[in-house]
Amino acid sequence: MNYILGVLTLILIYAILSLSLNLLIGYSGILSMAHAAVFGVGAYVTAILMERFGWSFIPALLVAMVAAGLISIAVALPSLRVSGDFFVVASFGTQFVLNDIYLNWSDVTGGAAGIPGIPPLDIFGWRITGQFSFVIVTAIFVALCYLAVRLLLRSPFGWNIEAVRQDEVATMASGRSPRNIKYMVSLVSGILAGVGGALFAVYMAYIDYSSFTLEMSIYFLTFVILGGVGTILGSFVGPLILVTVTELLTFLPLGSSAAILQQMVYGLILILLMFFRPQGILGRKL
Amino acid sequence: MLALQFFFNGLSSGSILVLLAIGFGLILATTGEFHMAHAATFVIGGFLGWLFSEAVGLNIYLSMVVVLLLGGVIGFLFNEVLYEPLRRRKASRLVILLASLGALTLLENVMALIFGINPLFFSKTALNNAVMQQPTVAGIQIVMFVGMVVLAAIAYLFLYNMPMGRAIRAVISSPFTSQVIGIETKKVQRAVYVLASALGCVAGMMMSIQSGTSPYNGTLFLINAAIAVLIGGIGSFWGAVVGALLLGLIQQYSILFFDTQWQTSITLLIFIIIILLRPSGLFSVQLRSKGV
Repeated sequence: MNYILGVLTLILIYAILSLSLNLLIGYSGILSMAHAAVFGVGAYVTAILMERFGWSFIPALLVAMVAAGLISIAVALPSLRVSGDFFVVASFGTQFVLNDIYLNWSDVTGGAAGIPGIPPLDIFGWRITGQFSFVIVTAIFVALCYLAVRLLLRSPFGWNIEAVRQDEVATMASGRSPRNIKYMVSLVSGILAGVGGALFAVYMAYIDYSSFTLEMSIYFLTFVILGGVGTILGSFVGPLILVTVTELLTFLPLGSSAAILQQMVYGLILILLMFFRPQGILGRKL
Repeated sequence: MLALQFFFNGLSSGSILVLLAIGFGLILATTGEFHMAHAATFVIGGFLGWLFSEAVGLNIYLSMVVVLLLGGVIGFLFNEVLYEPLRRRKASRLVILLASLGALTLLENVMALIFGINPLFFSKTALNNAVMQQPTVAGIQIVMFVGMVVLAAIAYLFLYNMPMGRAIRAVISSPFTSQVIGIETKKVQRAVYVLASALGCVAGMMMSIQSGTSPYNGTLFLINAAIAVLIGGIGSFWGAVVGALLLGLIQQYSILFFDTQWQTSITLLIFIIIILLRPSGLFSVQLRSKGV
């Protein structure tokens, strides 16, 4: 039972990440390879504030959101001025750099040892320790993120996002700056990734660099592509299927090559989807 | 003394980047495709090289030639099996990039599955011995530099003197006009993938001779090469060469001021500064803004 609840919690946290990455890819057509690293910013900020400085969860979460949002927009600002290709390269670079920081800046991030002993989730003094109540709280956060994205997309600003997605030149012609809209989308996407990171930190109680690597970025990307690009609902389907598959794979007696085979499966899923259903399970045309 | 040592190290690691950057840049400029799986070609090159020179026992230089040829085959397969079918499906650039990323993930893990994740070393060759003391220069570093000069010269002569090379440059300068005058885009795309992958494969082998094979190091090298292409200017041959050599040297000299683990951060910083100052790259003729 606890195992299933644990898997469910992971799926919910990954759904937030999937949602935030989907905003970027599906609604503004920019591909970020640094999403796991931005997620890591949220997790590390939360972990450090709670474990070292004894903050409670909510203020730590807010700082984590701001930090992840800032990192996200810092990647977008210089590179999107030029083109999407530059953004891809810059986001790869960011992924590597943040990884280096997580691994090497030992005074702050604990280096390879990571940060153990992160206090459990508390909401204004109410400590949430049980697995079940954690799932409920995570689900509430997922719902809040979902509502926020929905509201955003339905707002006048959301129409701008949709306009950029459909026709960048026409958006420009009607006096909106696609670039500014994309900056905003990457900011929001980063903030959401920060929420995911904060929840991840308190859920795991221990974090190290290995949860925020390039492989994880590709994993998140596969969520989005599988679930369907440009659909909010797809952001839930992707993690649901992929995390389940991953967990099932761990039951097979694969020994030491399990991780390698897992990666091969993700690669294969990406290729096959691009050939036969680029829009994913629920998605719109990519 | 240290400065001279860094100069040699930077020149040899820069040479690896040059070989990767020429190919990656050519592909990006002619097809518009962001060929992430080029990193897999680099990785496969290392393992093929190890296979021929260590397991089969072939002479190291002969192995390089074999790897060069097989690299061409790999490029041919990438074009025919992966990209051409996607082009026929009118896949968007994002779709192609994602498929390429999938191919990279798949192939590097296939290599990990076959050869293991621990590095395999080239023990039968004397290329890792120092041929020069103070500054210490290993044979392989000279091979890297000379190999780069020879291969880059061949690529240059091909691009600027052969009919196919001219066709490639025509497509780079204007895909539409080149079609109008009867250049077969498909052949050009194939040629570009073959040429690029041959260079990338040898680069991977030379890198592996120096530091051992690794299934997962291709991406970092490719991103460095991509940065070299972007700061040099997309579509510019000399831009890619100079960009890559500069990057190799700067990364080495940065060790004077920062720990080696921050090399990637320095590279990214340089990238961002240059695209802020000169978004079209240092040597670019024109800027074509294409959204992914």
